[in-house]
Amino acid sequence: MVRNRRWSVGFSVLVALAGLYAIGCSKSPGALRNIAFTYESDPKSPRAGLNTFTVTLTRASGQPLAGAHVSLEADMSHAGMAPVFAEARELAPGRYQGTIDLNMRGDWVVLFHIKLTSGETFDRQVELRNLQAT
Amino acid sequence: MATQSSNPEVLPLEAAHFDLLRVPLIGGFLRWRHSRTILQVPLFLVAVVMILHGLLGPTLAPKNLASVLTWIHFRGALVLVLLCAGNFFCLACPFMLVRNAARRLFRPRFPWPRALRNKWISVALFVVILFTYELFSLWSSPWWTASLAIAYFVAVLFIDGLFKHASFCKFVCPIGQFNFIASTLSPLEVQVRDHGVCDRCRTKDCIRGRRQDRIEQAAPGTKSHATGNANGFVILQRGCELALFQPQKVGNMDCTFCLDCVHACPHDNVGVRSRLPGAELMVNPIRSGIGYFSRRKDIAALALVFTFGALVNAFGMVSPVYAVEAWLTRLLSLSHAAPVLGVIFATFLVVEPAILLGAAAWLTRALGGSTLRLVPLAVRYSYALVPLGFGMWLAHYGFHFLTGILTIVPVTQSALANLGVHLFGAPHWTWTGMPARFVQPMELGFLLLGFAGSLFISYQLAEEDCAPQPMRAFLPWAAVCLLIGLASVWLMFQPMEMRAMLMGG
Repeated sequence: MVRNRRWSVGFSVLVALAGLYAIGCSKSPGALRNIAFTYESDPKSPRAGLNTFTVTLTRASGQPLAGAHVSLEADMSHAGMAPVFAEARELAPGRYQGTIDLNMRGDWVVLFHIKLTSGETFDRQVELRNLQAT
Repeated sequence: MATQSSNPEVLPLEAAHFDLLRVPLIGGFLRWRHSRTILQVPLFLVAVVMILHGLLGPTLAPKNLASVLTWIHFRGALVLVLLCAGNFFCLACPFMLVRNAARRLFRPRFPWPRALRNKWISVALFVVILFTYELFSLWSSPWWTASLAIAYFVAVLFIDGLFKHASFCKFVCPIGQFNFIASTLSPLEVQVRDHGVCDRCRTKDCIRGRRQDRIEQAAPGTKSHATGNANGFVILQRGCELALFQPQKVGNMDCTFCLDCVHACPHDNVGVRSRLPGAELMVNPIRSGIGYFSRRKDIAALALVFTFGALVNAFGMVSPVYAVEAWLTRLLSLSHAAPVLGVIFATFLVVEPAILLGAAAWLTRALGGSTLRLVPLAVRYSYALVPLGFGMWLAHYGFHFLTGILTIVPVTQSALANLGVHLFGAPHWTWTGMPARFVQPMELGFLLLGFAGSLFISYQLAEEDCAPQPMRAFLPWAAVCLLIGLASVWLMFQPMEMRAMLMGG
C-alpha cells in the first residue's frame, strides 16, 4: 500500500513536469501568419544610442497595411534593466517609423507591438547583439 | 550559565556576544522547532511560481519572474544577508522542505561513500554552473533558469533519497558551498554559549539528536514528532546532519544554520552569536566535521574557485571579453563558444591561481624562511583570498540587485495581468532601482573591504608562520592580494555589457 503511494506520488510529479514542459515548448508567439513584416534601421548596424527603425507591413498579397498603430519596446537580454519605449508614426501607407534610445551597450531585444485597424494585435521581435557605442 | 565577573571591565561571557536567539520575537521564533518550515514554505512557493512562469511565461528574461527573481533578487539578497548576518538562505532552503517531505515516503538507506566525503564534486559543480551560465546564457533564458531549479529539486530528491543525513548539502550543493565559504566572513555564527555546560553534558543531543526508546514512546500521553529508527529508539529531534559537533565546531564552514542543534540541546546552550567576521580563516584548529583547513586541499580549491570565479563571472559582463574571445577564436581557429570559454575558464581558474599562489608560496619560503612545502603553503594562504572574492561577488551581485530591485514590481504586475488580475494599473516598466552612479561607490567599498580583509588575514597567517620576520612572509601574499584587488577594480569600472551570449554577434 505504502509502496503504491510512493509510486503514485512519483508518477504524478513526473506527469506534471512533462505537462509543463510540453505546454512551455508549444507556446506560440501569437503572430499573424498572413502579414509580412520587414524593417530597416538607421544606422544600418544598430548602435548604443538613438536608432531609427522603419517598419513595412503588408498583406500576403502585397497590399500595404495602412492605419496600424506601431509602438516600439526595447529590452536588454539581462533582467534588471528598464525597457525603453517609443511610438512609430506612419510615413506612408504601411510604412511606420520610430526612434528609440538603446541607452546601453550590449544585447537588446526590440519588440514591435502592432495593432491593426481591425483590432488584431501581434508582436514582432528583433534581436540585436553586441551593440557598441560609435 | 553566564560567567559573572566582579571586574566591570571584563564583560560576562554571555554579554560579550550579541546572541540573535536572545532577541525578543526573532529569538523566540527561531527557537521554535517549526521556524525553519515556516521560512521554507514562502521560498518554496516562490520557487514554484518561478518555475511555472519560467516555463509558461514570457521568453524575455527581463519580463519573466524566473530570471528576475533568480538573477537579480535571489543572488543579491543572498550575498547581502551573508555579509550582514549569516547563512540564513540555507536555513530557508526550499529544496530541503521538499526533501523532508519526501523522506516521509522514501527513507535513505546508504551512507555517503567515504571516497566522496570531500568538496571535489561540489567544486566541480560550482565550476560547471559558472561555465554553463556563460555558455547557455542562463540569465537571459527563463526556460533554462526554471529547468535549473527543477534539476536542483530532482538532484536533492535523488541524492538525499538514497543517502543518509544531509549528503546533498555537505558534499554536492554548489550554492551551499558558495554560502559556506562566504559565511566564513559573516558576523553571526551558530556556536556554544558556555563550553562548561557541554563538558558536563552526557547525552550530546546536538550531534546525536534527542532520542527516546520505543517502549517509552509508546507510553500513553506521549506526544512526539518522532522519526522512526531501526535501532530501537525514535529520534524526537535530529542533531546536526552535517556532522558538526557543537563543542568542537569552529566557524561557519558547513553550517546551514538549520538550528537543529539549537532545538536538540536540552540545556539551551547553543546560540546564534556575533563574532569577528573572517576570524575563522586566520586560525587552524581541528574543526568538527571538517578537520584542519590546512590539510583540506578540496576546501582550499573551493576558496580559490570562489575568489577567481568571482572575477570570471564579472569578466563575462564587460566589454574586453569580446576582444579576448575574438583573439582566442582567431588564435585557435575555433568556431564554437564552448572551447573558447573552456580556455578562458582554464586560464582564470587554474593557470592564474597556480602561477600566483605558486610564486607567492615560493617567495614565502625564500624570503620568510617558512619551513612548509609549496602546496601546503598555497593551501594555507588560499583562505586569505576569500574576502577579495566575496568583495567581488558583493560588488557584482549587489550592483544588479540595487539597480534592479524594483523591477520585480512591473514583472509581477505583468504576470498577474496575464492571468486577468490588474494590480495598480499598467505595469510600471520604468521602475528599476537605484541609479548606477549611487551604487558604484558601494561597489568600490565592497572591493576595498575585501582587499583589507585579505591583507589582514594574510598578515595574521604570516605572523604565525614566520614570527621573527612576518613582513617577509606577508609581502608576496600582499602582492597577490593587490593584483587581484586591482583586477577587481578594473573590472568593475569597465563599461558593462548586458550580454546575451558569449561570442554573440
